[in-house]
Amino acid sequence: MDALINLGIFVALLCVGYLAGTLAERNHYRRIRRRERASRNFPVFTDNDTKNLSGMQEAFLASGSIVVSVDYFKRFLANLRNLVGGRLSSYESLLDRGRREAMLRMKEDARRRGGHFIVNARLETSAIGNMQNNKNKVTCVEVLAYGTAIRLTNPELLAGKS
Amino acid sequence: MKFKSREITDGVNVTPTHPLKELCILVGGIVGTLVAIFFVLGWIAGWLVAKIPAKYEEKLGRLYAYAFADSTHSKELDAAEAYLQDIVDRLAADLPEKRFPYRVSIHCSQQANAFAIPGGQIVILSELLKQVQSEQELAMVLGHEIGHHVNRDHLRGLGRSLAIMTVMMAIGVSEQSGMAQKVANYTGNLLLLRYSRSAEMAADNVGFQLVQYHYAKPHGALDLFKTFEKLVPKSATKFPAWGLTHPHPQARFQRLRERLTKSSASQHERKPLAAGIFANICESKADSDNK
Amino acid sequence: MLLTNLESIPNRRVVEHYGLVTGSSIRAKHVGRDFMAGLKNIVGGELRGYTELINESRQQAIERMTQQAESLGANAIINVRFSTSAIMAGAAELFAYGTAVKLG
Repeated sequence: MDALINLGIFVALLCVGYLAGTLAERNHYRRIRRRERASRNFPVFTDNDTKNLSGMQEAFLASGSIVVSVDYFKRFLANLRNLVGGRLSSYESLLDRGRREAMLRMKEDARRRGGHFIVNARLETSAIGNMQNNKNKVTCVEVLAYGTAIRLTNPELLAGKS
Repeated sequence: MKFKSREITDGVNVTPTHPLKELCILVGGIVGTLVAIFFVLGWIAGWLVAKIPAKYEEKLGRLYAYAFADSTHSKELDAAEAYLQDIVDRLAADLPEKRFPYRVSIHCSQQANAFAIPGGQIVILSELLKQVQSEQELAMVLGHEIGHHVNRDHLRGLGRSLAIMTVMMAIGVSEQSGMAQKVANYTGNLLLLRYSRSAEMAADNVGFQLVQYHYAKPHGALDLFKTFEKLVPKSATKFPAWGLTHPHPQARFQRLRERLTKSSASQHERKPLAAGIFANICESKADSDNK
Repeated sequence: MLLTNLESIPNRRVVEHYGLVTGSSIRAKHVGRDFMAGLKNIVGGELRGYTELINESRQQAIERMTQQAESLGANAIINVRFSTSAIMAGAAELFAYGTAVKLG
């Protein structure tokens, strides 16, 4: 009897996790795509070659971060996958969402503070709170994007960064 | 160098497989593999069990016997055990092949149950003795346990659960977080129950056959299942066949009843128990348990 | 105080180096937020409470690094790097480090 109740709770959590998780993910991706399109013209570079840069007015550190977690259903899927091995495709979208969201926040931070583009952009991912196999712990990933935002005296020069 | 703003490419880092499809493949694959391993192991265990020499089985039995060893033996208890032993000896006398003499002992408990322990031992819990009405019923219980011994079910179950535990450890179920383990446990338990069910039916057959040999009027043995039916908790009738270690009494009764009408048409008559034999067997023991 | 993760600031010259400065902040989980995060963990998505918590902590780490740089007499920190590490279940360290310099 106890086993049946436990099984029921487990299946209910799986269903809730799957439905709510899929919905939330779809909405999040929709937001991400919209904002990515809006900030398409805001350049982000991973190089640090600024020797020939002229007309710089200001440089400052811009950053964006997010903590994301995967839903119950996908976590279960990942646990199963872990038994067999192979590609953990259910966690791919988690990291993809996290990275793109963090990058967007970095861009928005830079733009709000008057930057015109970002150089030397770096991405850092770290798992927090999933030490060992403690099943009651919240498992999530933090993604941090940071870089140096540059403000130009004459933004029209931007197109010709050389 | 010029910065060109291009259309954004999307989803290169995400596998397009639908998660539900992946779930089905994974669950199907894992459960299928477990079931396959289970049956292969069961077959191997069954094959090996037949090869265990009686000497080792008796050694194994001594390990278990400790759990049921009562230090104090009252006169009533000794008398009751001798009475049971007499029935067992009579029942087992005609068995074609005997690995060891069957010994019966009574263990004081609130539960109504009986066990077959490796090495030819049969343990009956005192509560069951208080429930039975006639000697045929008692013979049916003892015959059932002898049936387990004849089929070597106790060893098979032991071998099987050991093998399952080894496999689960090997694939690392114990290391993984709770959910996967839960699933594995549920499937494992269900299979073990299912297994013991068919074994219980086989033991019933042996038991009933023995009773038929030794009692001109074996009908009374079937009353045992009516007695059991009273003991089955109500919830078990709502979810039949899931939570019980034994098949439902009703099902067992029906099966044997059909056999009986086929073989002989003896009338329903009970042989009474020796009067008051089980009345005081566990009185002193119960007192000390309560403390 | 000027912070950058570049090796040098374009069009400006480093006149003095003061070496490595560091700032760190270790945060344990927040009881209330952790409860909400536990619920959110079923449906997945962003754990906003944690995002804020970690941002605050990182800000504190940056402040500490800046303080250290100021006490050295620097007016900029170049080559800033961040790292996050879960040091035990429910606690994380936010760490920032860089080179303190004086720009001319």
